[in-house]
Amino acid sequence: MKPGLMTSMPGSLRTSQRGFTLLEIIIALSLTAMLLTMLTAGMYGVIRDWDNNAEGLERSLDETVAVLQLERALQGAFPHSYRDPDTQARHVFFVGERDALSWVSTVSPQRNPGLTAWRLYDEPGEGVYLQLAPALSDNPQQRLAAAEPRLLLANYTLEFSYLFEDLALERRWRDSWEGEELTALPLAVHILLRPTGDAPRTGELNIIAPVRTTEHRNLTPTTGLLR
Amino acid sequence: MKTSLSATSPPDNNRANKGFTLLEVMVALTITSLVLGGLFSLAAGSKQLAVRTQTTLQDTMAARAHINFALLENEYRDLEPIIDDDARYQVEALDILPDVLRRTAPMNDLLQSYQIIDRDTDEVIDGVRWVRLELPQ
Repeated sequence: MKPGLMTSMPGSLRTSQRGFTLLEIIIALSLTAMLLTMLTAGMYGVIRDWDNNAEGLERSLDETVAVLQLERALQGAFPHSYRDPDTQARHVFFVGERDALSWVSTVSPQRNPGLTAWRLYDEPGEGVYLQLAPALSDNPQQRLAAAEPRLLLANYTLEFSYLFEDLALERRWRDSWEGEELTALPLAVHILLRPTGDAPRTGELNIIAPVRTTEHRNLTPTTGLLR
Repeated sequence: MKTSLSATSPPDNNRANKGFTLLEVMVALTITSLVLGGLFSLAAGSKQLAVRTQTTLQDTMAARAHINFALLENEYRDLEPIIDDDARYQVEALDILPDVLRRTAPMNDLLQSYQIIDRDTDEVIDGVRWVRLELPQ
């Protein structure tokens, strides 16, 4: 037994210390490389997914805050009046169209004192833009047009409707609202936000904001003209 | 001397050169895959959470628009008819809010706090609404 062990040992010692052959190393290295590549690809996918989710979540949080802020600003709409320098007549500032709206609100996003004029419109292919300007005692239209537009909601189009009560006390929605002629604000504003783009993430968003103060203190509303 | 060396060192040498056993490799691979799997499932869980949060945000916005729309008709209306799904949502009226200081006249319109309870998910929405009483209080 012992001699046999003794004679076999040197041989096995030599083979076990011979090291790997080139082929073995190449196979081992290529296997390791393959595993690492798969792992890296997997990690890359996971990290990209994570980033996408974080970005999407952040965007929808921003959208929610923007929508809530808009609703609040519309609820706090104020029948801001100014005097026409030519005719000396007083008008209420509220220019509502199908795809754009300018109004004066007691709500200001920067918490500035006083009233703020807001203008909301959509740029086709880009999204909904917002302009803000202080509402002084004159017509804020020009200051508003010169204000820097900010992209509020990317990849959305706007559609406004305005609620009014006709002479028969029936409530109806209409597409435009000229505060200058009507000298009053609508009872409520409805904004329909439609997502655009190839793969919209969300469905349509609705903002319905009842306007608290619809009549000016001194000016008589002429909403009876509405049809 | 020579015999003792050759008798003791070859088995040592033999064991050191033997490499890992299959069992060891399996155990190591299992532990590695468990750790990686845990990491991946963490990422997947956060994805689910993010998607659910987004859906909830959109649902909340839609619900808000619906409630506002319903309240346009009548600000003093009960919330119960607005919510169609009676089996799922339960509206619970709570206390009337305390009177303001220096109230001089009896009032018909009072503020009342309420809760909407979602039976499926146990979510609770708190709110305050106007109630119009028959008799002034």
